[in-house]
Amino acid sequence: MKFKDIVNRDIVNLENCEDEAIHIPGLIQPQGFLLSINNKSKIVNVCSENIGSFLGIDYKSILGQEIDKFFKFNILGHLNELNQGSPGQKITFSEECFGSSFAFTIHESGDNIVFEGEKSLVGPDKEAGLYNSSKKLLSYIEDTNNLKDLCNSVAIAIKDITDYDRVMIYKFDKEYNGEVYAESKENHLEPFLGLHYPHTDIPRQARELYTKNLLRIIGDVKYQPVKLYTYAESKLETLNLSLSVLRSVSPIHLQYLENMGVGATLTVSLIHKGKLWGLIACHHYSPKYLSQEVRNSVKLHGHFITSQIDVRILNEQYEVSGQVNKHVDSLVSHDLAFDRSSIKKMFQHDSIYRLSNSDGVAALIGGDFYFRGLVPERHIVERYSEVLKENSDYPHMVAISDMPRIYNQKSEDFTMFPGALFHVLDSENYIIWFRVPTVQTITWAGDPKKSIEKDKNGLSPRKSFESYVQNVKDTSKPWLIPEINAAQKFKVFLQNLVRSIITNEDKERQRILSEHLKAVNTELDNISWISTHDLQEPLRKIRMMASVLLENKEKYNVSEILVNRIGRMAKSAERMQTLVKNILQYNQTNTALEKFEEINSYNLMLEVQEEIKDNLLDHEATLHIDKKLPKIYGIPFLLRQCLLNVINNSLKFKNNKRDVVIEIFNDLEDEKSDLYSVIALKDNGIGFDKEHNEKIFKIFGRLHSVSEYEGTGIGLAFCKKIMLKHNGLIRAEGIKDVGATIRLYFPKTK
Amino acid sequence: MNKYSVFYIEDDEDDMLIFEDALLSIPEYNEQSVKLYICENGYNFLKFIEKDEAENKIVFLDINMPAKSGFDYLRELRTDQNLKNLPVVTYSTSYDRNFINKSRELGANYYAIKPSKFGDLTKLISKAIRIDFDRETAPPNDFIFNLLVQ
Repeated sequence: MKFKDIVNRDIVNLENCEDEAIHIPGLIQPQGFLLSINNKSKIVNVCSENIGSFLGIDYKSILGQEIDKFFKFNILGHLNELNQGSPGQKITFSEECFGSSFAFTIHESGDNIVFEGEKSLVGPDKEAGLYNSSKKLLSYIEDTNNLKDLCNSVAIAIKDITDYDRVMIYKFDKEYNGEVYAESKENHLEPFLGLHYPHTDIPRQARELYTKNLLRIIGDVKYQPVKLYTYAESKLETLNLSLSVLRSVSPIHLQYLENMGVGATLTVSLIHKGKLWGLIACHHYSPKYLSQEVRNSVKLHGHFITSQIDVRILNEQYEVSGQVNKHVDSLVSHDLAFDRSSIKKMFQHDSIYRLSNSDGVAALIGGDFYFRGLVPERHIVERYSEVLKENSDYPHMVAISDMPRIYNQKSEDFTMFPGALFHVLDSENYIIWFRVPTVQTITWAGDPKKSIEKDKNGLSPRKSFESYVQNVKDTSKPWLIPEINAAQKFKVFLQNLVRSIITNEDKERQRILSEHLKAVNTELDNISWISTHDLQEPLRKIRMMASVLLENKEKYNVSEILVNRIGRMAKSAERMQTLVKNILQYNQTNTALEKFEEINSYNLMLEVQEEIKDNLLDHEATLHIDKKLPKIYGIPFLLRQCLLNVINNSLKFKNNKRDVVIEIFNDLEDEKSDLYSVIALKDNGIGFDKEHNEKIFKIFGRLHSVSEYEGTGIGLAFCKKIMLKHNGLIRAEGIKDVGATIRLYFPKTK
Repeated sequence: MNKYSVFYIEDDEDDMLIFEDALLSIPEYNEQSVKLYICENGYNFLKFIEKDEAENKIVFLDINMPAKSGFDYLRELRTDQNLKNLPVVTYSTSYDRNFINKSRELGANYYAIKPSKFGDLTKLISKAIRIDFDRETAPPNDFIFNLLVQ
C-alpha cells in the first residue's frame, strides 16, 4: 500500500492571507491525533502522522483498514449517534484505549467522519468548579445591568475557570472591526481593553470558520504541525477541517500571536442571530491545554453572553434613552415665548446637542443660523443640508455616520463631521446634529504608544490600530435608535415652536400691513377727491375755453390752423378727463360693499346687449349669446360694467377685414370649470401675442399706441378688479390676427 | 321789468366769465327779459335777491366754495321762509354720487354737471329759463339736469 500526505503547500503571506484556504491545511496541532473514515465503508482514509505517540500504532497500519479493528470500545455506537443527530453536530465522549483515557470528538466532513482524540485532562475538583461557575453565571444576570458589565463579569469568570493570563471579549461592528469590549488579565500585563482592530485582522474565511466551529484552541503557538496522511487508493485529496478541534491554524495567525508574545490561545465564537457578534479570546503567555470539560464550560459562558445580547441591548437602549430624554425634557420644560429669542435661548444649552449624544448642532430657522457645540462653518452646514435634503426620505430625516465616504466625491467638506442627523423642519428650515470621526473618540485603556510592537515586519496591536484608524476614518459612531428618537422628539417640539413663532410674526406683520393699508386707503380717498375736483376742474376749463373759441370762430376771428390746433388741445384735455374719471371709478370698486345677488347671466348679457345696441350697430357687430350661460353670484352694476368693458374692447380691437362676431358662452371645457362657472367672450378681432396674456390686465397696460386705438388702459384692469371682488378671476387668451378670448371665472359657491 | 333773473353763486372767476358769455349767447337772451346776477358768495346773493323783482328766478349754486359750500347755502335757503321755494340747481364739476344725492336731500331742484363745451352750457342755461319749476319737478332719474338738455 502506498501512502501520501495531504498537506496544502500553497505559500501564504500577508498579501494573500485573505484568500488562504485555511479549512484544508492537511495539518493538525500536535496535542492530539486525528483520523477519518469513509462513512459508508468505515475504512480509515486519513490518519495523522503522530498517532503512534498516542496509541502506539503506526499510521501506515491503520490507513485502509476498517476502524473497529483498532478500538476496543463500541465505536459504531458513537457513529450511530452522530448519524442520527443534526448535520454539523459534534459528539464528544471519553473512552479508554491503549491504556489511557482519551477525550474524543467526532464530526462529519463530507463523506467522512473525523475522529479527534486528546488525552483527557481532569482538573482536581472539576465537578465542583463547573457547578460553581454555572451558579455564578446565573448571578450575573442579576448583578449586571448592561452588556459591558456582563461581559466583564464573564471574562473574570472564564479567567477564573481556565487560568489563562488574559481573557478578552471582542465585539465587532457591522464591518467586523473589532474592539476589546471586556478584559480580565494578570495584573502585570498591559491592558488591551478598548483597543480596536481592523476587520482585516480576521480575514473573511476565518470569520466563516468561526461561525461554523465555535471553539478553537492553540495549545502552543510554537507547535510543530503534524501531517495528515492518506493511502493512494483512497482518492482523497483534501480533508475539510472546518469543524475540527485540532486543525492547524494559519502560519500568519501564529506569527501574529508570536509577535504579541502569546504562547497559547482559546477562542470561542459569540454568534448572535447567525452572525459573528464577537469572540472570547483567551491568551496565555506559555503553552496551555484545556480539558474538554473546561472548554465546554467556556463555551457555555459564550452562549450565556449571546443569549443575553438582545436583552442587554434593550437595557442599554433603555439607559441611553433615559439619558437623552432627560436632555430633551430639560429643553422643552423651559417657559418659552413665541418669538425668536426662545430659539436662541434653547441653543444656549448643551442639552440641545447632547440629547442625541452628538458633538454639536446647527439649525437654520427663518434665515437665522443657530448652533451649539462643535459644528462646521455655516456654508458647510448649508452643504450638508443641500446634499441630505436631496436624499432624505419621508419624513425628511437622515441619520448618517459616514458622510465623507458617500458624498465626498462632490466635495471635501464632510471629513471633519462624518456623522450627521438631519431633520427638515419645513420647506426652508432644518436642524442637523453633528458627530466628529470615531477615531477622535476612541478610548484607550493604556497608553497606545506603549503597545506591543515586537516585529516591525509583522502584525501587532499597534499596527492594527493604525490600520483600524484607516478603516474607521471618515466615520463617526453610528446613531442609536434612542438617540434618533430623542432627536425626533425634540424636532417635533422645535417644529411646533417655529410654527408658532412664524404665525406670531405673521400676525404682527399683518397688523402692521393692515395699518399701512388703512393709511394708504385714506390717502387714496384723498387722491379720489383730488381727481374729481382739482384735476377735473382745469381740464374742463381748457375744453370750455377751447370750445368758446371753436364755436365762435367768426366772432373771435379764429383762423383754420388755430381751429385745428385748438381742436387737438381740447381732445387731449378730454382724454385726460376720461382718464381721471376712470381712475375714480376704478377706486370706487374698492369701496362698493354691496351684497351678492343671484344673477342669471344670460339675462344680464341681454341687458348689456340692449344697452349698447347702437354701438354694436355702428361697428356692425353681432353677439352670439349662449342660452346656457350659468347662474352666478355678484353685484349686477359692477358685472354689467365688466361685461361692457370686455365687449367694448372687442369692438375697439376689431379686425377691419371682417365684421365683429363675439361669442359668449358657458365654457365647460375649461380646466377650472369644476370649481368655477366660466363665461367666455370670444371675438374675431386682431388678437394679441400670447406673451401679453397677463399684461393686458395691468392698469394702463396698453398694447397699442394711443393714436392707433383710443383708450385709457383701465378697462381690463377694471374688469380684473371687479372679478377679484367676486372672488373670481379673469383670464385672456389671444391669437394674433385671429382673436381674443376673455374668460370670467365665478366661484360655483357663494 | 325783466321776466327772468338768473343767480349764479360761484367763486371761480373763469366760470363766472364763461357762464356770463354763455348766458349772453342763448337765443332767449335780450337785455330786457333776462338779468344775470353773479354772486361771489351768499352774502352778495342775499343782497341781490332781496332787491330783485323778476317774476321768475333761478339759482345756479356752485358746490365747491371756500368757507361756505354750496350745500351750506342750500340748507340755509330751504329753511328761509321767503326763499324755500326758489328754484335751485346745484352746479358742480363733480359727478360724484354723494354730491348728487346730497343735493337732492337738501332740496335742490336739479343737479347740473358743469359742461366742458360752450354749446352744452348755452343749451343748459337756455333750458333752465324755459322750465316752469312750479309745475315741473324733477323725476328721480332726471334729477341730473344735463339729461334734460340732450
